[in-house]
Amino acid sequence: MPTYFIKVSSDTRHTMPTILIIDDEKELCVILEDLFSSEGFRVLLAYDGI
Amino acid sequence: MRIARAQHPDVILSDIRMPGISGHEAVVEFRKIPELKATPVILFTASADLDDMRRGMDAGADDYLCKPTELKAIVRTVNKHLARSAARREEARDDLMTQRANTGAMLPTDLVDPLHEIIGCASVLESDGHVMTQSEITEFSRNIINGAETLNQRVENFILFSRIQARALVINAPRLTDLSALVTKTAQQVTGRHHRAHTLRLEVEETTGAVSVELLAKALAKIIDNACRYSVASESIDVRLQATDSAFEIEVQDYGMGVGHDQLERMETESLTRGCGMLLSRKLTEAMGGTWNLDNRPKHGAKITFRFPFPDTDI
Repeated sequence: MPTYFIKVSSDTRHTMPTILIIDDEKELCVILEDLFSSEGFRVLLAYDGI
Repeated sequence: MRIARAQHPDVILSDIRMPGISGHEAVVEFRKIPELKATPVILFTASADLDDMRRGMDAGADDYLCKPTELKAIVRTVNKHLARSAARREEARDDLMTQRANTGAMLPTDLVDPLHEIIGCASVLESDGHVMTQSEITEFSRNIINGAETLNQRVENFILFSRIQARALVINAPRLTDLSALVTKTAQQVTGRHHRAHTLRLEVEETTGAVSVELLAKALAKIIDNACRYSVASESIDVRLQATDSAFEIEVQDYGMGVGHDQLERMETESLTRGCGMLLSRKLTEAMGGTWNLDNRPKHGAKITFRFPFPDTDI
């Protein structure tokens, strides 16, 4: 089963740019998630491309 | 893929090697989703494998990053593509506004005027044709044909311009063509329509090139048409075709009144109103990868030069 997570708070979704990060290296995804969140992005994560 | 489909992200950062579907395949699938056609996709690759990168770019990715990459560089790349994407959207919005403004400006007069001429003359023929002389009937019929031709020309211009603005112009694959024959035929046809064939001076070097034949003929015809309209019937119209190792050039020169201030302004503001042949010619030329240059000499004529580079044969 493909796995994915969406981490977003509803009040920010229309004002922040949204980035979708697709990578099966979960540790890297977490680093990138922190990085882009701190840069003001709404981050969507997926661990495969399905 | 499911998230992208449902959430329409502004930018996608994707690994190339993943279980299930590769980054390359994912890009192809993203591009099939209308909302994601223009979304920047940046691929992540574990090695600086040139083939991998090329395949990604061929599939429709906008950029690639090699792992490991400095985190700041990743943010910079993402922000750069977001900014480009926003600029493209802004440009598309501006184009749409221009198109709307053009539609509003053109439809009321440029299309309705010739239509009125057609209806008016046809009505007179219908009601009074039985008492008119043969020469009067011929004159009114001629007016109807002129009005219909003008209308046809303006509708065609309008459709062409709209397609160019919407980046929806269909450019047929370039065909290897005898350019000398194409230029000669177009010049003779257009000057013939204006009864100016006797003033046409052709200087055509035998040249073959790969071009989109229909579009080049249209771009050229519009300029020769202008040359006929804006110069007196006794003045020459010069059409030259010459080739160098790297490009071919077509020049159209007339010795009439030159290009007026209002027409130059319409070129500048890209406004589609009456007499927008020059603007369309330039747009068509640029859409085909050529350059278009105007050498204007008020009261002494105008020279337009089309230049099309030959494809680089070394590749």
